[in-house]
Amino acid sequence: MTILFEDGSDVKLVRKLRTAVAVFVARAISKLITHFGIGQGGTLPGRVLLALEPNALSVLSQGVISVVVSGTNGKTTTTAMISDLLSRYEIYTNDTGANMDFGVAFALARAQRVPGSHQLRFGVFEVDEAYLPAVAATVNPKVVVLLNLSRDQLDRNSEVRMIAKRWRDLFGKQSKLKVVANCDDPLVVYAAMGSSDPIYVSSGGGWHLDATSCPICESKVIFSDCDWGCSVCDFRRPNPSYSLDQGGGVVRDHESLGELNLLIPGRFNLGNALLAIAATSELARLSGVPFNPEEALRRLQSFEGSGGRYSIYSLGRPDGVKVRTMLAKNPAGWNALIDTVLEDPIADRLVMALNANVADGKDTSWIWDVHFERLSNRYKRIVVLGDRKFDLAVRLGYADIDPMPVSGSQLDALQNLECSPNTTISYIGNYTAFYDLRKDLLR
Amino acid sequence: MTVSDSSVRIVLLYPDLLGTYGDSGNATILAKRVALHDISAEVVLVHSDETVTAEGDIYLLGGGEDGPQNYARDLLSKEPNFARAIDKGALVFAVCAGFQILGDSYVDARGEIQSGLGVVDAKTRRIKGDRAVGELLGESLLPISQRLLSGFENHGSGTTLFGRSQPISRTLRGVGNDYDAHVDGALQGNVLCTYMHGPALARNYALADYLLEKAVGLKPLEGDWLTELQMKLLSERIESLS
Ligand SMILES: [Zn+2]
Repeated sequence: MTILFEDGSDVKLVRKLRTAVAVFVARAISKLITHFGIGQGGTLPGRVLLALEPNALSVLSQGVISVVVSGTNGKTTTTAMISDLLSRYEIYTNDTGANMDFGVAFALARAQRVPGSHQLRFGVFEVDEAYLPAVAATVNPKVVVLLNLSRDQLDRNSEVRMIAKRWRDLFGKQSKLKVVANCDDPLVVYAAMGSSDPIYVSSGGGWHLDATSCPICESKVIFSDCDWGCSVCDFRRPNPSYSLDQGGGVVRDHESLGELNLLIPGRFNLGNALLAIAATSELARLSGVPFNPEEALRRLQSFEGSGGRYSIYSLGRPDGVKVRTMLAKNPAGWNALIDTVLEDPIADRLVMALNANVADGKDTSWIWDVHFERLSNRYKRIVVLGDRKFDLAVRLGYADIDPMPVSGSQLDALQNLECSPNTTISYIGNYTAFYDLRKDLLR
Repeated sequence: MTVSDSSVRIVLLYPDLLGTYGDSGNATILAKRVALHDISAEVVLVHSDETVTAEGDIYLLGGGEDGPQNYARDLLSKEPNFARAIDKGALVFAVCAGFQILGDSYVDARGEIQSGLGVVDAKTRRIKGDRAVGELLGESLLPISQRLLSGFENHGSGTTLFGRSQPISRTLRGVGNDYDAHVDGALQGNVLCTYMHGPALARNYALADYLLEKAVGLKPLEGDWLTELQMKLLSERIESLS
């Protein structure tokens, strides 16, 4: 018996049915993982989902209005800010950090659709730089946010220029996609120029080592305070639609929108917030929902970070000492957090942790590109933790800082660290070190 | 620019082109170790739009990606001061992509054979196997106090030595120059090359001191806290492989 469907194809229905089964299995696996406390439950179920039905991402993203955030640093925070700004709607987001195609697929699969709901459904996804072209081609987002591009994980993913080129090609092909891009990063601008009418946001640079030669003509790119341009061709920083003025006010096309104050520290987070506002505003415009920038600024004032980044945790110590946990995965991120610590008047003790698992990248050479020297006036001694604490110790030693390597659990080290009462320890760890500690802190 | 004669000058070549793998750390390490002898040290950064000084004691080249590697080769081949410094006996320490351009020839990303600077008797071709990525451990062939040399390698080309060049270590773990070579690096006169990142001198304190002895006659450091820390790092890395 042949069944004919409304649209004349049974292929689509088969895909839908197989997707439904795959979603059921993936959810069950996720429940088991959560039940036994063996992970955050986005990676394995997502992989199973796509293995059972390779088209699941395409099927599940039908009817979802999506914004995708990519770049080397700030993906999770910016994604969480956009989700926060859209929180009155039904949202799908991969807030567990699984940011490849399967992570996005499972973020769509895990949410139970409210039956009979006719609310708009928004997808807010962070996507790995290398996966952006594939995910964007399948999910068809309305808006793509480009944060920055610098080297990350040397042994796996060193060719940042290649990624900028692939992004640029993607925007050339998907002409309807609205690109919201950081105009302070030349590689990001080079990529955004592939789209016809990008919206530029001045969200800050600071890491120029990967963009010292022009992506168009390979000549030297010259950076000044907040401007840059190629010394030979006409590739230069475009004027931003969104920027911050001296007093921390948000300016959109020369019009002031109000002040931006964040609870979480770091100048780069102000840049992330600016991108989040620009992206949400575009998404709202393109999907016909209201957006009030003043209200958005107010809402971000109480944004507390995502996934433990910048969170302050109690250590259960009788002297009331707490810890603020920060995550840095690469030299650009680490340098930005050093700025943050130096700006922070209450950062009394500093602890750093380094691992070199697969998720971190096996090569730790990049720590020599971090300017730890800047810390030496303020911190004579820094506690170092993690599997590769001696790599960090040697690096700090050569930066005139006395490193104190501590073995064993990171939580134990923090609980036993000598501190003044009621102070907050600043902790910076790379990927797996950060999540190891967070797991112990939440236990 | 004036520098007193007693200052040791370390020239870091093109950190904007060959700075992908943290190899600029080698300059930091050498300068600090000179300072531990109570001798002043100066690190001179030479960017790709600047001229190379002929007055360096040590010249450093790091690893980098294919495009910048060719560009660095172009620039250096037009730098009479670099050749002059080598003739005068300045020491050159080159890592990975830097090693490759000092040889007779190397191969770029498109598989095209590029001519090198011909400073070291070495030829680099596509590696005879998968890209070499991981820990590299070798038994030192240099007259230094360190028996084992350790670093992290990451290269898709393989190098064959010939003529007057000698390897610096016999490979125990990892690939080194190439799969069938079983050695790492090259030493020829005052030019020393390796595939070790990490950067190379972070773990290999005795290699750093060997370079300083060859370049400016400084005796190896002993018993200072930085060397002791590096010894811990080196033994931790070696243990991780067993
Ligand atoms: Zn140009």
